[in-house]
Amino acid sequence: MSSVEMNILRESLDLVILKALTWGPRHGYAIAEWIEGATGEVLFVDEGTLYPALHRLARRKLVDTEWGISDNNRRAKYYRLKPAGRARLRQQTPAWHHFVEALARALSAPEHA
Amino acid sequence: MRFFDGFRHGVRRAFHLPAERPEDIEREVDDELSFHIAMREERLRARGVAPDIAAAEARRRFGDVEMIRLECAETDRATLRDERIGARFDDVGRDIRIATRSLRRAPGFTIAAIGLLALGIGGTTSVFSVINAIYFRPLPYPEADRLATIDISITDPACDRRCVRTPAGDEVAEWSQARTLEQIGVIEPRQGMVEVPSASLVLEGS
Repeated sequence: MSSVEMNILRESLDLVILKALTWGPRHGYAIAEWIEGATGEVLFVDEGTLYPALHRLARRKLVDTEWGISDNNRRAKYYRLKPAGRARLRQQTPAWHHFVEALARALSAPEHA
Repeated sequence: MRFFDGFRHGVRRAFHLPAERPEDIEREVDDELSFHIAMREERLRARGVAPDIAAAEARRRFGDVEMIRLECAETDRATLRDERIGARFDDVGRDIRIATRSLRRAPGFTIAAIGLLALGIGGTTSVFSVINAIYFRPLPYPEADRLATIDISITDPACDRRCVRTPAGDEVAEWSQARTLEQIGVIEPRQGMVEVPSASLVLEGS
């Protein structure tokens, strides 16, 4: 895959993760489940690709991490949206809407006869 | 145990210690990834999938565990490095804040310290400017770096005691022929007496 394609995928995954955290702290599995439900399972090939993205977001200080206890009493790593992450989500969302609409328009244009 | 974990976290945060030690990173990544796979497996079984199939399916859906593990650990190590550098800067900031606060609490000491510093710096600076003017700054003549002093004592044979005289004009002219010297000038030390009512002062001049 070219670096441009990789960037688009990475960026969109980052944004979806930030969105998943707007309802409060969640562990990785809960984020994966939310993404599954919200996107209809089409967005990501492997569930595991979520984790490098989460760790990158933590490195960029867009999310905080904390070990906690899950609903079924297991030790789980929770991610919490930081103000910087919320700001990034707010700032990037319109651009993505714009991009997706433009792409859809371009791809659905009737072919020249 | 939960209380203790929470407490430790609080302590870490209060002292800006890095969240993890390098040797903890891989263990924490392993814990996190196995939690996900275990959760997926559990959900599949709850939906009636046979245990061995659920385990295989959970792993298949997760993807390349080893690669993901390495990537996460690499990112975390970089984060830890950043945090350590940040913590060092925080330490310096905290030291400065503590110093300012304690200085403000002891104004007498602060004034004495600042005064002594001022005297010390002022003294050294003024002594240095004198030394600089005398020894280090070039003399106020053109091509000052090519000036040299040559000390010559000429003992006068006519003088019965060991007395020193000023070089005569022709002697100076002869020295000027030297190829190593471009120009030559003569400084002659002289002594004079100044009479003041209480004492005599000997003045040295040239």
